[in-house]
Amino acid sequence: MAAAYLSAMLENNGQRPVKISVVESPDSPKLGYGEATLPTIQHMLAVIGIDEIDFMKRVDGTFRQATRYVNWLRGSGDFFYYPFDDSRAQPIDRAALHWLMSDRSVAFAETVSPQPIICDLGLAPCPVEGQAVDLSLKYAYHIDELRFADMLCEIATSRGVQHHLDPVTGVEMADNGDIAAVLTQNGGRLEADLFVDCTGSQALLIEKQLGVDWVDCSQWLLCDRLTTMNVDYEHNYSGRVRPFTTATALSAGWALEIPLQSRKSLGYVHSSRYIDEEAACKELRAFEGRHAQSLDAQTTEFNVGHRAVTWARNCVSLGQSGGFIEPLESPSPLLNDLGVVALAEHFPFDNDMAPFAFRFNRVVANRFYEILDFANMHYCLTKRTDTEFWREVRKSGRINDRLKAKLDFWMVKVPSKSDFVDQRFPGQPEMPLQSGGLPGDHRSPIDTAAVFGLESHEAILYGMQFLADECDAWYGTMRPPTGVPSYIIGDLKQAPRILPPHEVWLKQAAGMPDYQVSKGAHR
Amino acid sequence: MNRPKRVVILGGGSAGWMAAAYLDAALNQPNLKVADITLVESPDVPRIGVGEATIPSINHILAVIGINEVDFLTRVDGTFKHAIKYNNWLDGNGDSYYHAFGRRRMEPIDYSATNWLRSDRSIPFSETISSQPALCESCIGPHSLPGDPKVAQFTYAFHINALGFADYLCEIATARGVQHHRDHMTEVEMADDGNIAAINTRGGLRVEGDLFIDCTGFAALLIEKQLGVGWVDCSQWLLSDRAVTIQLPYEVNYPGYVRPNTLATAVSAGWIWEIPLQTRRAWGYVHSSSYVNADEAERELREFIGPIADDQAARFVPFKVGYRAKAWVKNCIAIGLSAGFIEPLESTGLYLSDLATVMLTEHFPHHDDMEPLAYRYNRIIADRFHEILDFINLHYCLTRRTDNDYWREVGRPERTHDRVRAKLEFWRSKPPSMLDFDDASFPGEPAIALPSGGIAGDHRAPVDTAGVFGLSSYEAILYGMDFLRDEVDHWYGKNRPPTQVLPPVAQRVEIAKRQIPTHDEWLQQVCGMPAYLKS
Repeated sequence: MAAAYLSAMLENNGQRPVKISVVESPDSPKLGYGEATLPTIQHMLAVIGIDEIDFMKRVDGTFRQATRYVNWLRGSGDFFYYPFDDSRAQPIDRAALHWLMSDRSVAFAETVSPQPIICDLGLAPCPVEGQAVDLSLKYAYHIDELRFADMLCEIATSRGVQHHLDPVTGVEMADNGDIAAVLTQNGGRLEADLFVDCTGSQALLIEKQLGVDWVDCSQWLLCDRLTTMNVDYEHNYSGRVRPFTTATALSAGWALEIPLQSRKSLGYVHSSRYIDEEAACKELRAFEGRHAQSLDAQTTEFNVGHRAVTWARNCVSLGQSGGFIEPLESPSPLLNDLGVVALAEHFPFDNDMAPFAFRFNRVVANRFYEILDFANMHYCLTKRTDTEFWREVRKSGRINDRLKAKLDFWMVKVPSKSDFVDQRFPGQPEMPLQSGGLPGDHRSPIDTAAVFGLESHEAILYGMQFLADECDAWYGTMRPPTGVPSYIIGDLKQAPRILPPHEVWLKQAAGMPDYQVSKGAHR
Repeated sequence: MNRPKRVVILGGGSAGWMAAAYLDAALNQPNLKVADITLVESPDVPRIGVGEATIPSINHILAVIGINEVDFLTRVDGTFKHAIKYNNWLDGNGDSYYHAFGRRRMEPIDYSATNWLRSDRSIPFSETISSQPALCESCIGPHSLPGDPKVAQFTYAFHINALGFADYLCEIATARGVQHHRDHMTEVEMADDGNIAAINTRGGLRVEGDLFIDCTGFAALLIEKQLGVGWVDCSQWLLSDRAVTIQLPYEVNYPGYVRPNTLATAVSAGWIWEIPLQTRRAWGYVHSSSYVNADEAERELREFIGPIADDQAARFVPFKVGYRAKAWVKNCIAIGLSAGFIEPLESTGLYLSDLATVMLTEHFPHHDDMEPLAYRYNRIIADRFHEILDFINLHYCLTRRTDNDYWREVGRPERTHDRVRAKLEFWRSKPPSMLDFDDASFPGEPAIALPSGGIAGDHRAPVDTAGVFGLSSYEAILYGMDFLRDEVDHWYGKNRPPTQVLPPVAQRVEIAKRQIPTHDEWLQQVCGMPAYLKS
């Protein structure tokens, strides 16, 4: 991603010539399975110049319009959607107020977006050809991460990025502490001005070479392991391809279901302290159904946290070497996209990199904490007490102080737009960023809601029934039925006429094969 | 359900009436009364018409109150404003540039600033990305005549008669149930808990309230005189402290056009605005009294306008640049001049009231606990104040003028705010870009706590989140003021290709010139502006 985006961006920018080389170990397994992206991916595709249909064909891609959260609140079949498309009334948005003052008989998300129902109906977000003029919906994709990397590699190398399939065996340092070159097994020596460390959790340059620390954040997100399986449609196909991601809370974490064109990618994100590998595997199989008994499972471990400084000297760490948050809300693609875009903006054409590194580290750390807090919020609003894991996540030590300050404030005043500029709330302690590597940066991270703003927070908060008790006190218990704005109803009336079922779209536009529907397929 | 909160607004200028009309429209719904609003206005105190020029945020206020644009223009003597044109700010020898409200951005990545920097700069930056400078030069407004096809959705604001605006809002608000008393406040009654309980008037009224809004201007009768909240002076960075103004009715002299923009011309100890309305033009010389006395300032203004205005009286308006340490204390909120003022260079006078009103709506104390709300409100307002302060400061500190003591003083390092300096320094190594406006903390910037941190824990420097002036605004000023002139020679060499205008910008200018009449013709046909003879 970094290679393709930087080459496209810096070339169009036409500034001064930039030469990019990618050194990749031929035997390093690239961590990857079905991945859920966020709408920020559209910017990446547009800059690199990738056609949507080509993209979906190449990466086994499907549409993603929402996340459906199941069993997060009570574990009793409760669910809510977090849709990407969210349209509010102008000039003043009273959607939340109207919903809070109503009897909540319709889910909040359904009062601000047609997408929950469109997801229930299993429709694609656009017609097979062209865009629907009257019904334009925001969406992202589910993709096969490895295939996407291959596609980007092809594009980048065809545009002049050098690709060396040759393991790195050594690093040569310059006298000033910068990295001077990397040495490879085949005797190569690659000198460069800037080194981008995309070596995943190994962090070969930023950690092994430059010794930059990792800041652990597992206090707020307990999950540290992922068990995955692939359900090939050849093996089992329900007849439908969901146009959304499903996140179902299980006993010690949650199950992730990502539908692709050829298979469903299934994962159990869990905490190794609360469930062992075998039990996790068993629970995931039971969740998926009888057809999952024979599937291979893979388990990987991960650490939630970030590099104290993601840009040190002339080395920038992107991807897992720079930071990782568990896959709830798709932080990895997000952090990668952000890192790449920020690097392009702060590309050091001249020699003095320190001011760029200062800003880059600041912006990336802010964003990291923004995402961390947002993911944290999903857990700490649960009312589940059925397992030790769920009892633990509700404990006050598991809620970040920043988030606690926000939630307290929102019990006095319902969340509104200006809560997302300069997010500092009463009672929030002053805790400097650990990324303050450069003099002067001793400030707390500042959440500028660049990714998750008011609408995102409302989707989760009200999906998790935040303020349910307060509303009884504020507005009484006899409240009028929830209304759905006429523009949402209008969209929903049109939707089945304009939008094909998701799998029909995939077959017609992206060449998805016709799979046989399995007997007794329940969904 | 709670009973409606009783909101008492003291003062009936544009700030007071905007608060009354907006709060009523935004909070009260047909079946839900949240705020019971009373406005008390002294018949003895003349209103100050602050800010005859607005910025586009005013459109939100109008939309929420439900004001029709043509009605509005007709009632407030209003004209359109596409941009501000700055004259003589760089070298003082006829240089000029525009800060336009609207602009094009290239998708998916906007390279227009880099493209301009890499060119020979033969066309000013603003003209390469916005059609509005060209429309201003041709005196063309944003709308075609009713019935004609619409050209584009321009981003614009208005020039207005601020007193007329207050009257208009008064009419709307009182028709919707806002109580209005023309009566002079004589005494403030305090409650035991330190809140304001009621105000008493000369006419024998006692007005109780849950929330008191101080719109009494610099007098700050409640927030300062009663609650003793201090004023934070910011004159170190903006030297001007007085304006002298002259109005000239078109009946006396009509230049033959109505500009769709404000003019801001730098002169010997400050700058002169020129604002056109439908019936008159107004000029104001914003100056520093330490560098020019009242007589000299008036003389300079008259020279600037020429003999056409010799019979018109001049009026002096003193002001101070700064803000209330806390705009919301106990149950009292200062809005308007009582809360803060920045000199009118970017027309932010009315904007600060507008922002305060919108923020108060968001933080309206529906329940009893006001303290967390006040904390956030004060934080946001102070952030925004500093954001604007820095942005205005930027206009001065890039000048190359050294022609007198005033401009030499403005050019001294201590007149540039540390935050602005940190930004400018950073931008000398990399031109400004989007992420710079996300948490604007730059290398070398000291973390100076806000004086408004009365509540435990708020010891942070203000955070500029570009709520009003973002990348586009900074680019307009920086590149208008020839920022990075030497750096680009070094980065891109001296032989650079000619500057190009973005094709859609050039197209839009063409279409607009064909389809939109001149600004005065539009106003005559749509708003009934009289047809004056060109003098």
